[in-house]
Amino acid sequence: VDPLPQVLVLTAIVIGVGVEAMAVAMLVRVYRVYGTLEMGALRTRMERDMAEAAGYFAPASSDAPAGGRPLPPVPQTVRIGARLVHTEQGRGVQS
Amino acid sequence: VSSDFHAVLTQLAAADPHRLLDLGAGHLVLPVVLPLLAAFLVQPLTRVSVALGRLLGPAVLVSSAWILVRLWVGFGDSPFVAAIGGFAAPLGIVFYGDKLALLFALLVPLLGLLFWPGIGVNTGGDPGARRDALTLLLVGSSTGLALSGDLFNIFVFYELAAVASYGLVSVTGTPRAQVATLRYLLIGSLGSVLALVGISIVYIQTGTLNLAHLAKLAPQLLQGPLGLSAFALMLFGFGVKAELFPFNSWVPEVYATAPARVSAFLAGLVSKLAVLIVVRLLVLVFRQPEAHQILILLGTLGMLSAEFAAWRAVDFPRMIALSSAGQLGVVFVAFAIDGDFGIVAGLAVALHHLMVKSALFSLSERWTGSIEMLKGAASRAPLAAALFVLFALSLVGMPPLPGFWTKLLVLVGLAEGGSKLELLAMLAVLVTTALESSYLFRVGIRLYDGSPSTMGPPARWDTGVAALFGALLLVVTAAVSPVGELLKGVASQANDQSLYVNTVFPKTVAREY
Repeated sequence: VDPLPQVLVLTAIVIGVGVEAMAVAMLVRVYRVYGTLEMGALRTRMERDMAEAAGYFAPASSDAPAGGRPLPPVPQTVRIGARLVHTEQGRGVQS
Repeated sequence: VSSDFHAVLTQLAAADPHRLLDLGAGHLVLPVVLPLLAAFLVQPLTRVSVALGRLLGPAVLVSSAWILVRLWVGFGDSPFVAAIGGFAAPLGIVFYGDKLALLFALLVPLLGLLFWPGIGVNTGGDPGARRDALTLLLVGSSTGLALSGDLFNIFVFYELAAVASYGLVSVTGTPRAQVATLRYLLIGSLGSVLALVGISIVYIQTGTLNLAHLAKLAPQLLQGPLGLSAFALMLFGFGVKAELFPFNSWVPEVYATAPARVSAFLAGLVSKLAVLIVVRLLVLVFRQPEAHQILILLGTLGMLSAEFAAWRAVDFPRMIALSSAGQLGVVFVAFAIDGDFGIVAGLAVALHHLMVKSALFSLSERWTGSIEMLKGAASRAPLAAALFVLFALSLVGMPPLPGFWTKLLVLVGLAEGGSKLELLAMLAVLVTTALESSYLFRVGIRLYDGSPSTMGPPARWDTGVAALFGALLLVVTAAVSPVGELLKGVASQANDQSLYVNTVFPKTVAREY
């Protein structure tokens, strides 16, 4: 019996689980900060943060309505399991 | 037992002390194994002694670079094979050391040292150790990618490098870096799945994953649409790290949010290692003209899309990140040119890009932010600004600088090929050169703007690294023809399919398979 397919499948499973664990860890951290897991919203916020860090305002898309559409506010708390966790926004309001 | 022990002792006593330092082919495993081992030792060692923990990484990198140099000198021109655990191919897994593999394997620890995260900045304690561990993992797996002669092994090292780079990219801990890493991770996982499907197709067709064995079987078993689809899937998969066209959307956001040294290492070297795998596949297994055409098409599209995006970019790190993706497009196009000439052109573009882009990323260490903010930065950092202009000139292809020769090689190769696709790619190279000069000199003009600058100079270590690459660039400018001869030697060896097969399967064994 050629052991190679078994080894390949097992290795792929192990690697896959490892990468998934990493993805879940990232998701939790991102959710704590932005309070959403919607990739579109996350991308918009990331672009805005990058623009802010770089010191310019992100150019709006040419299709955007005049005056720009405001991003939905980041919630102050998010629910992770049974716990209620403050996002960065929420902490900023508190302090 | 005691007699065995005695025999070993007498053998040791009889051994010539100079012979003990001689390196055999088996030592090719060490530059991969040592960093991987050290990656797991860094954290416990830091508990014992912080100073020792911080020293471990650089010490391991120096020793693996030394081992590789010794092997290169020791074996001279002939390629050699290290069978892991003594199991010969195709049953076992082999590391293949020819000039091309050794060159890139040697660059890994050297660049790892230059971009070592702990050098020149004051960090200590636990986060430093974790970052060192990740960097060592990345170095070990990248060396493995350069040396490995087996698709299975390549897949594992590729995944290891990917996971280590996800960790390193998000090491700053800023929310935007984490979102960028998450998006990178999603694209990366998609790529791994595609690569794995491609590898499975190859295995189903041939029953082996050893590259040399595949090279023998490919003419019968991997022709036609099935083989081509396997190649395309693996190209997409490994193309994620190589910043290939449809899968390079992660490039600007990741390189703009990651620490500059990590970006320099990933863009400079790890992307080239992914390209190296594709080149090995192309030379050894998939020699169909269609494979070359896919490569030229995707390379051209990547070149155009990324360079136009770079032209529109308003901040410095994203601009050079996009420019890097565009240059990788040129690398793919160059490697797709037929024969030794294509390998020479591809190597020249890849190595030139490695020097220039790594250096530009180290300059971006402090020059983050929009291009407008760089106004007048030359007055605060004259050396860094001068280096930027040097690299920009070489990237655009100003005649005496190496960038000119690399572009000339690509253009001549494409013109000699002469098919419609190749002429289109040639046109794209010329158009993107114009774009490159436009956006790079936009930065250059801002740098030498007379207005007072708020931007601090780049850190001393990073300026030093950039200066080192600048000096190297000037040396190559002066010694173009010897360097060209060297590349020709490397390329003709890398393009020799039968040499690869005969090295992995020496004549006596070859009959059995």
